[in-house]
Amino acid sequence: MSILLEARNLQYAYETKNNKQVLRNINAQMEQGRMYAILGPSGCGKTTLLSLLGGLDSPAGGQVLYQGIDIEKTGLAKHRQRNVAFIFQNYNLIDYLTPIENVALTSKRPALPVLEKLGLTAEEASRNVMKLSGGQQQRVAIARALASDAKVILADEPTGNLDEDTASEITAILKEAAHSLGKCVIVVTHSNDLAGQADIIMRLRKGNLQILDSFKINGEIEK
Amino acid sequence: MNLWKRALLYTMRKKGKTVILFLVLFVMSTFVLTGLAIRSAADRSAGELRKSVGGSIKLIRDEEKTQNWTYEQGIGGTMVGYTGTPITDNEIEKIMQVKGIKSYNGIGYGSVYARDFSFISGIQFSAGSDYSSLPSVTHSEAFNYFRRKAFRLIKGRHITPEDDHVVLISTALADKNGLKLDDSITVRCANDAGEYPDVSLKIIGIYKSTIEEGKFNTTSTDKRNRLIIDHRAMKEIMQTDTIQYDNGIEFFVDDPKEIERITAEIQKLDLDWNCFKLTVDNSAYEAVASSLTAMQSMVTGLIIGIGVVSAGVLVLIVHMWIRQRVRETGILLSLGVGKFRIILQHIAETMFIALAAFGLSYFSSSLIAQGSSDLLFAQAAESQPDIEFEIPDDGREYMDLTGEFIPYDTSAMVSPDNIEVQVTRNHLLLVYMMGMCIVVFSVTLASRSVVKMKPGNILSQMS
Repeated sequence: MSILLEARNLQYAYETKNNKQVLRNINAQMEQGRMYAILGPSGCGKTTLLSLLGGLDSPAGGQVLYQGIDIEKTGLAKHRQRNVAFIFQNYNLIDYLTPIENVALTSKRPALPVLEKLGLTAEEASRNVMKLSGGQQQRVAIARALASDAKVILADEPTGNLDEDTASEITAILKEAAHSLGKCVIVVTHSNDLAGQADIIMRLRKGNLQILDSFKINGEIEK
Repeated sequence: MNLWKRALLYTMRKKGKTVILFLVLFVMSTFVLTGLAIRSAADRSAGELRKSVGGSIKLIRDEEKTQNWTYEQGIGGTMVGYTGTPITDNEIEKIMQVKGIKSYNGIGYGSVYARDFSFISGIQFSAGSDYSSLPSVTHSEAFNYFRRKAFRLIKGRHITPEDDHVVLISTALADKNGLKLDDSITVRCANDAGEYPDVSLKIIGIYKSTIEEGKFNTTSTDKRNRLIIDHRAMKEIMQTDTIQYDNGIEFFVDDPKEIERITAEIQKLDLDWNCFKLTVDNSAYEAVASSLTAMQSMVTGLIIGIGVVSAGVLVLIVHMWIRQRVRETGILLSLGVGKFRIILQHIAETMFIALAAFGLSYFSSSLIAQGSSDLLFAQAAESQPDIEFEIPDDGREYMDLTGEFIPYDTSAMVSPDNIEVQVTRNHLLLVYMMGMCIVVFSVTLASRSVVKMKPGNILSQMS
């Protein structure tokens, strides 16, 4: 499988008095068709790493490469527009649009089939997005990510606000996106259940990224 | 989904904000449109007034310079005579070339004895003092007594440049002597030195003097004895070869607003400025136009004030709303929408609302413009101090023996007490242009703080 996204000696420090360094020489390669989970305690820099991979922020040192090209050279806005799609814990949908219109933000293709595939009815897809349940909103956010042409999906705690059953459904959708649609799905999570479904599990600790289990698919997580 | 569609959907779905912004823009544009319409009407009215009232520049002999006079000792005392360059047609020809001058009126001066009629006698009457002033004019209608309505022609016609040996007399003089139109009177120059012939003048007009005569007039200062004649008659009376405009030449300008420029241009002409000087009279315009000028200033101030306040209020409202849309901005940035396109969306939303608000304000301002104008005009007129007329430079002609000045009679002047106001498409176009500039400025300024943030920071704030 080809490498889509690569972090090379990635460094980042918060702009505080002490310039606290959260990421130290992170190196990782993410391939197409795989689901990655990044675990780690709160405040360890998981979301920051996701932001750097997605081009929402620039690193203090090192590079993020997409298909071998530095995303700073491509342009961060272009990288976000073409290569990556985000899914957030709090869904981040545009509140004055319907689900169909939210999906249409990233794709010119008809949005309804994608939404229906994710379990929304035509009526629900035409309602104001704020009138949907949390699970339905997260499905819309996933639909928006899937409908785009982006090959990388970056999900930050996608099941954090959802009940157990819905979380399982969302996890299954993300896994399917990687395995069936050939997307590279990178999930930042605290959930062991979600991480357990990933192909590769990584842990971020004291600014370093370690691969916990890179070969075991659907296996137990080594603690 | 492109930004225009997003902007349209936002405008349609956020009804509360749309209505508030619509009302704010509608009220502002109504005021500005009303102000512009009133300002245009005031400008138009002032222009018409300027043209109807007019203004004049007078070329006169500089009699204050002693080098222009000679003093000869005679038997009866010192003989004084003006020996400076006389004002003649040569000066008229040069000055009429200056742009902005529409006509002129040359005024000669002499005094005559009545030969076959009698003047109205004043005090200290004696056979030697039974004479009266005799101005000769190019156009009697433009003679300042007629222009200021001190004299009113009630029979016959005015003197024009083509006339030859004609005269205008007062009703009082006509009544005293039983004279009527087409009768002739005979006069002779009242100068002490020299031989002068009797000259016959045909009466072509009879005027009524509206000046209340004082009790202490001499025959020559009594305005009812004025014989107003043409220049050809004056030449014969005074026995001169050329017309000398001893009382100066008055040049009338198209627009009193231009009077300073025209005066400056005349002063650059090759004339004998050691012997001549210019006096300017636009006091009539100043007198009747003061309320209009005050209103013009007031409306201009209002328009600028409303424009500045509008921009300020708009910046505040939009800034407040855009800060509430940080989340949306973050989402759009995470989707790869550029900052410029996000600002453009905000501008487009405000413009959609502004387009409707400005359009509708055309009708609302049309409804209130006339009423507002009347109100403003009344206030401007009320706040004006009583007009004080300046004594014209030829003021001595306007004073009786007691030194009392005979003021302008402005009763017949058209002093506007209201103006017709109309909101036009040009005003609307101007409001659209001004409004759109204000919208772009306000929204860009308000968006700056949010769009300056890094997408990562926005999203971390959101979470």
